[in-house]
Formats: sequence, C-alpha cells, structure tokens
Amino acid sequence: MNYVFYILLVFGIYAILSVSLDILVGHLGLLVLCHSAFFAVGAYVSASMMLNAGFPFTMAAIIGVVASVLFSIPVGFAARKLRGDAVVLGSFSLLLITVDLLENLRGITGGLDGLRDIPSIRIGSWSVESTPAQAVLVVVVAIICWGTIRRITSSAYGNFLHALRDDPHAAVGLRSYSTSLYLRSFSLASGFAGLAGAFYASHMTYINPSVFGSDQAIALIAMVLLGGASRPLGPVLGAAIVVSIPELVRAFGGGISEVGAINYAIMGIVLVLFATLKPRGILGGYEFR
Amino acid sequence: MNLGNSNNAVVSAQNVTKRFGDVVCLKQVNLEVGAGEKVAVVGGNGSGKTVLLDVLCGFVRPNSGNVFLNGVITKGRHPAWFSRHGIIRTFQSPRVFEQMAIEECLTLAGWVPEHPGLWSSLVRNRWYTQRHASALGDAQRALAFAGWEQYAGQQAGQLSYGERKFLTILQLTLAKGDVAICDEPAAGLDSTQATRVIEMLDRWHSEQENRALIVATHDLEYVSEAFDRTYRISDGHLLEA
Repeated sequence: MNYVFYILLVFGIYAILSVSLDILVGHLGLLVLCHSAFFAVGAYVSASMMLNAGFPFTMAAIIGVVASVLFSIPVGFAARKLRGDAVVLGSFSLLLITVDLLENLRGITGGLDGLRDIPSIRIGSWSVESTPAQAVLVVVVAIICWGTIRRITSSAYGNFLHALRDDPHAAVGLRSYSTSLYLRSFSLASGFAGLAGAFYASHMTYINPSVFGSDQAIALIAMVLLGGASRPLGPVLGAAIVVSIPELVRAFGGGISEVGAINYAIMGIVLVLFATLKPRGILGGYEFR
Repeated sequence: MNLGNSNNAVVSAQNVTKRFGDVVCLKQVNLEVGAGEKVAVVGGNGSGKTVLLDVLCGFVRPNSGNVFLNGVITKGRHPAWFSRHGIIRTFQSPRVFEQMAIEECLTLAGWVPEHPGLWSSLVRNRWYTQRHASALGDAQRALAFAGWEQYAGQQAGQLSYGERKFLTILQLTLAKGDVAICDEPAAGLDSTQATRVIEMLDRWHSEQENRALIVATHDLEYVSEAFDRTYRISDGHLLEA
C-alpha cells in the first residue's frame, strides 16, 4: 500500500513541475529546458536551510521558493529576446551550468555526494513522516498549484501570454508586449518548481546533482508535450504517463534490471512518435511550429 | 530627454538613411506628423514604404539620422519602447495571433495598453472584473460589426488573408494609442472590405482629437480620400506631394 502512495507522491511532485513548466512552454511558447534547474535551486536551498540553519520545513520551503524565483529573473529577462532554437540551447546551457555548480560547490551542495539526512516534512507541530501522509499533502499542494495556474492562464493575463507566444512582433504592434509578462511568468513557474524541490528534498531526505540533470529536463518537457501544452489537464496527464512508464516496465518487463535505461528509451520513442504523429499531444494543445 | 525636432510633431524622422548591404532603402528622409494629423505615404513596390514605417516604430534602426517620438530622440530604443509610448502598428502581410480564438484577440486589444497582474488575475478583483467586462464588451461589439459572432471561438490562424487583415484593423480600432501606423491596410481586400477598413481607420482617427494616423499605400484611389498630407516615396527618396 505504501508503494501506491509513493507513486502518488512522485506523481504529485511531477504534476507541480509539469503544470508550472506549461506556463513557459504552452502559454508563453518557450521550449525551456532549465525547469529542473529551478527545481534544484528550491531543493538545495530549502535542504541547506534545514540542515545548516535549523529552519523548520515551512520556512525553508519559502526561502527555497524565493531563491528559485530570484534565480529565474535573469533567465526570464534573457528569454524575452530569444525564440525557437535559441531558447532551447540557452536554457539547456543554463541547466548544464547549474548541475556543474551543484557538483563542484562542494562546501555548499556536498558535490557529487549531495546532501544527506534532510529533515522530513513538518508543518507547524504536524510531523508528516509517513509516505501516505506526505503523498496526500503533496497531491493537495499539486491541486492548489494547478488551480492557481489554471485561473491565471484562463484570465486575460493568459491572453497576453498567448499573444507573445503566437507572434511577439504583432504583440509589440498591438501594444500588448511587456517585459514584465516574461518576468512574472518565469517567477510563477520557477516558484512552483522551487516548492516541488522543497517537497522532493524533504521526502527523499537525500538529494544529489544527478536528480536534476538533462534526463529530468527531457522528462519534464515530455510530460507537457505528451499531455498537450496549454491544455488545462494536458501536463497532468503527461505527468501521469511519464511517472507510470517505469512502473509498467517493472510490472510487465519480465524482471528487467535496467528500468531507468528502458524508461528513457521508451520515453524517447514515445516523444518521437508524438512529435511526428500527434504534435498537439493527447488533449490537443499548443503546437510548436 | 533630447528635444531635437523643430515643432510639435508627434513622430518625426530627420535625415534618416537606411541601408541593407549595398541597397539604400531610405535616403536622407525627412518626415513630420503632428498630433491629430492623417498622413499618407504613397509609393510603388520596393520604394521603401515599409522600411520607413519600420524605422518610425523601431523595428528597423536607421544607419544615420534620427527618429523623434513626442520630441524624444529614439536612438537605440527597442520597438516595445515605441509601443509603450503610444504607437500601434499593423503589417502589410497581416500578423495575427494564430492559435488564439478571434474573440480572445479582440478582448486582448480591448485591454491594451494595460495588462492584468498575476494577483488581479488570480483573485479577479473589482478592477479586473470591470476592466475585463469592458474589453469583452468591446470585443463582442467588434464581432457584431464584422458579422463574426458565430466565429468567435475560431482560431485566428484559420482565417483567410482578407479576414486576417480585417481582424488586425478591428484590433487596432479597439486598442488605445496615440499613433497608428498602417502598412497597406486595404491591399488584397475586395472593394467592400477595403471601404470598411478605410471607414474603420477614419473612425479610430476621429475618436480622439490628438490621434495621428500614418498609412503607407500604393493605392492612389485611397489617397484621394481626405488626408492632411501626402508624401511620395520613390527609390528611397521622400517628397511631400
């Protein structure tokens, strides 16, 4: 039973990540590959605050979110001048730099060994230590995150993002272009990614740089594109599919030992198939052209 | 602030030259458009009309000379700066927001130049609700004017060339701005559509006393309508007709 709740918890964390990434991918039209860097900043900062400063989870998570938002502001500022392949290359480079820093700033991040013995989730006097309790909490947070983002992107604010996504040149012509739209959207997306990072670190009690690398970035993009970018439930469905692939491999793989490798191979095949046969994803979302 | 133009021009170009490689598109061009004026720039294909409009709204930077907006020199400014300072631009090849519904495009136009913040979009406070209701009302009136009520939810990218052009002009008429710069607004439209577009631009211009309208066209019939001034552009040279 605990295993089912563990899967639910992982799904909740990935749902927060995919729904928040969809602000940038589906609504702003930027194929951003550095979302796991925002995830990493939230995880590392909140873990460090708990380990080194003795902060409680809630305070550490808030600081993690703020750090992630601050980290994203220069990215958002740069992204407003980039389109297409330049966004992919620029954001992927930032992810590689972030992972490199995590590996080499040993005094702060623990280097390749990462951070261990991170305190578990605790909200006020409620110690959320069991996996089922953590799973329920994370899923509730994921639902709040989804509702918040859905309400914002379905408002006039969403229309302004869609105009920038579809044609920034025309958005300038119509006076609907604003740098603050990029900065606010990056702040919102990275804030939720940082929150997911704080939950992840406290649930796993151990983090290292390999968790936040390029395979994670590809998995997050896959969630958004498979489900249907900019569709209300698209990224959630994508997260469910991507999270369930390794479990299906375990269940029906006949004792395959390299589940991780098979998982990414299947994800790669699924992504290629969708890109060619169903570019708008399962629920028919935004199509990259 | 650099005050460099001679009078109360809203937009002016002084000795503007623009080259693309060996091709000189604009040669020492001088142009002034005052508040409330309606100005036409007439010329054939390749004469430099579009480049001139692009220079006036910051999409293209001149090699030499200056552009002034309300007396302020615009050197090095991003097109978004021009946009923030009241310039609306439509393009010869109509640029629409392809994957947005027509009603969303028009509602967006009703909002500009304001846009809601994250918090007001989340809580939908009184300011947001009133502002959005007003923009949505404008959009629905524009849909009724165009006879597009049944297409409100259709993606703008599915419209034909003429319909796209009509949509961009509808958006312009809803948007608040001081200067509208329109590149061939009636080109490619049938005579009925072209007449409606011209009427819509006239109405936008006359709605507020200080609004300026700059139109580039090759259509001399259109120019015979009431313009305060007409410039002719040929081979990059601009002359007042």
